[in-house]
Amino acid sequence: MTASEARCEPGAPATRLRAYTATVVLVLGALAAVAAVAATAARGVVQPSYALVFGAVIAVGETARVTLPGNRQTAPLGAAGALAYALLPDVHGTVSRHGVLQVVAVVGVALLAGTLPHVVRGRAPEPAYVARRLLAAGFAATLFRPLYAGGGLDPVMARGWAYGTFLVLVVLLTSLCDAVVAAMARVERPFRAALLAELRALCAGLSPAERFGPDGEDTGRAGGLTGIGTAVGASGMLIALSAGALGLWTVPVFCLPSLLVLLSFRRYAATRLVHRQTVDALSRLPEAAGCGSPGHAARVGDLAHAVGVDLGLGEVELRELRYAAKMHDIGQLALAEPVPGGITLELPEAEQRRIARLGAEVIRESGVLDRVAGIVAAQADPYRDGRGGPPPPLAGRIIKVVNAYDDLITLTEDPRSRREVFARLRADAAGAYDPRVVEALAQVLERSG
Amino acid sequence: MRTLSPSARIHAGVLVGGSVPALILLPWSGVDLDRLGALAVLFIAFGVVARARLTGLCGAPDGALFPLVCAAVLLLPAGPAATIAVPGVLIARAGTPDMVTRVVNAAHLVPALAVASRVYELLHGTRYPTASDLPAGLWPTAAAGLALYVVSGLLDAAFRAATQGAARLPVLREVFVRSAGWRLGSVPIGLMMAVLWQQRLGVFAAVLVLLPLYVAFWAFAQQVREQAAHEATVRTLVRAVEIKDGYTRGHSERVARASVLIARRLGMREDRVVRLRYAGVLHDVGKLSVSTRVLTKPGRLDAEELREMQRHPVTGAEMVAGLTFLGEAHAGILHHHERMDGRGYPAGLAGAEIPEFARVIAVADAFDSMTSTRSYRPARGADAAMAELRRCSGTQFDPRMVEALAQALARHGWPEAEVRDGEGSDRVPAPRGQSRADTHSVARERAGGGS
Repeated sequence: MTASEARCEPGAPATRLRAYTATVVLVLGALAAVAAVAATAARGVVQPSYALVFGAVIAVGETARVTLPGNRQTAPLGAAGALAYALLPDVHGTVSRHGVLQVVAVVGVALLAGTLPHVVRGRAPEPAYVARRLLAAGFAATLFRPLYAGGGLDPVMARGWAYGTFLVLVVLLTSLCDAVVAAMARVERPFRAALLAELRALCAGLSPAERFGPDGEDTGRAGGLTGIGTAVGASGMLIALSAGALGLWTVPVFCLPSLLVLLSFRRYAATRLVHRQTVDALSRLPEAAGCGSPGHAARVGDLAHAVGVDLGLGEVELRELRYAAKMHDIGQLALAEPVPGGITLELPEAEQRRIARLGAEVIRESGVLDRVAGIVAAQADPYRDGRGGPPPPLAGRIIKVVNAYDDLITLTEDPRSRREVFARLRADAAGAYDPRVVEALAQVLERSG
Repeated sequence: MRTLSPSARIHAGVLVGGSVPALILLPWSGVDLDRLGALAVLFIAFGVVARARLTGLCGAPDGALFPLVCAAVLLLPAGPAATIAVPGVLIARAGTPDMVTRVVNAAHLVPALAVASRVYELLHGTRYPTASDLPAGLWPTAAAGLALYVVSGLLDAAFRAATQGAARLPVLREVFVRSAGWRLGSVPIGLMMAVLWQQRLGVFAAVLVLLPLYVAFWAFAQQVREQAAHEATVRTLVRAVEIKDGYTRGHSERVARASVLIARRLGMREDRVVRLRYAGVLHDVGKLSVSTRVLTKPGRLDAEELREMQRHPVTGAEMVAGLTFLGEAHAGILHHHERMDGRGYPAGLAGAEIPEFARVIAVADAFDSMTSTRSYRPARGADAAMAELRRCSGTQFDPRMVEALAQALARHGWPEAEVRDGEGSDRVPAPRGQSRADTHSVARERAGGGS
């Protein structure tokens, strides 16, 4: 049994357990929906005009959903509307009397209504997304409504700052709960990593760090205030408070900030998508030019990304790694005679490094992708250069290993030869490959079967 | 430090010099100290945020503070309102390099605030707006907001006209039209803030209103950057194509430029012009799949080689098939070697069957090829090239496009052909064995394709 297989063993039950967490989310969501609708139907809707107004906001918000990169779906307006309904205080002096179950029921029905246009267009939402939204609304309502109805909040609400602090607390806890639920539903990552990613997304919206540029790191680190989660929380409180203070007619007016958030994130997501398509087209050029087996760039991109996830890279580094891995063969375009099959592995090391540098040169000319260019330049450098120098960057080491693996598998033309390929990568006496990366790759392949 | 024109100096001197006594002389009576403190903190905090991430939006970073400025007009007398707004604007703009403009623009706020505040008071606007004031309270607010917009806009425009020596009317139009949506939209937002402020929420209301706006702005800023990154990736794509074939160096870019000239002349819609530009830049992307040997072969291509060469529009279109933003440009890339008489390739389309983009690119492509220097012949002048295009107009090229190019060139001119062949070859090493004896100029290739 190889080392990687041995390391995989204890992971297996954990993976099985992970699958259950997603089911738990779905079951909880379904239970909440059934209980809420049943209870509300039995008791009748309390204060139907409030339910109607907020239900309409949620439904409209839901029709205008945004899919963020990383396949994260959000509906800033819908989520803000749901939060506002959960946190609704006295409306112009009239006590609001809807309970937790009615909140969940209204949100559920509105979600359903808002989802219909998507279903008609053949884009049904994931069940986990619906469950998440229901659970988040239910959680916020559970924190607020019983306390408010019981009069426990009266002393707090008399003081502006105390009320504000309490609301912020409720919203923060709700966001935390939502992040946990979301991490439970995203089974493709280990729970801890998924939770961290969700929390980061909560603070930084689109995880701004995911995008790069000359100052990519700075904005990434300082992304705390600008998250979509912040916008949703603030808008939800704003709508609830303004409706309470000024009346229901203010609800559409105070939805405007959320609408602006929605529009801006939509445009951003659209541009991101287009950019990604261009990177993909760029990465396929060597194949089109006859230097690379079909799908090589895409395979290396995906595998390198998976290995990067396994080695715990952050989202900035992951995105750069993926782009660099996809574009790693660009340098071959500068060769007069294409390398047969695009397989650089058999070339002398100096030649491999020259091709890497040529590719980096091209990418660097774009003026924005400097860090990607740096990774591409380093992809052929050996792990140990024999002179005790520092190793190349991790992203470069990952691409070197993954590229070698894909070349070797292509050369042997037999997918069952994985064992021999790994034997060769591990036996590497010259120290070209980082053993940690090789083992991570073995694990990734093991998991995907 | 750049020198200012005399009129700009006077403008700056009067406004900056006058703003300090103005801050003291403007009405301060009836100021609510709690509000003053809270708003001052907000101005500074959001000034810092705006400076850090919203640069380049709403014209200048301080534009993002506009809702807060509107709220200050409603909540505070003119003196304290201006006193706290100016530092916020200075902070927000601290990242911009031009110190004079930064200070003068901040100083513009003082008279603008003073006028707006006066208007608000004259119309009996209250400093303590509540829900019950709302329908009636809208008018003074709207008038004050309008005053703020007009006065600050006029002052900004005057200063810009003075520093840049630009004509007044276009500057006025630009300043007022570009900022209208956001600056006027800020007025109701400021009112919301002021009313909620009054309803036991205080500064919390302002934060709640501003936060989502800032998140939206942030996303807009990200979008602008992502767009720039995308453009850069497209440039990389073009460069990658040009690596292989030295002669095309700069050719794609020039074809794109000529195509845009034609499109403008034809009065094409702006979004189509953008796509046509992409089509021009990427029209030869398929050349990557033509082997270097064929691409650089001296002398005539044999039938097999010609077939390989003529496949490039199809492979090119396939290579960019996944790029949805290209839209119509796909057809332009696929058909840029068609001829009006139907003897072109790959589909043998004739006349109006050929997509408009392709007809534009065909003309631009041939023109640039003829005006570029090749090692076996010098560049033709633009006039000679135009004459050649006219000669083939109707059979090979769409006469409309040829005429549009002629008119555009008469108006804008075309940079004289420098030695373009092989330029920049020191940056990316030329493929080994490539003589750069470019034997397949576009014109010749076309002739081959047509016969």
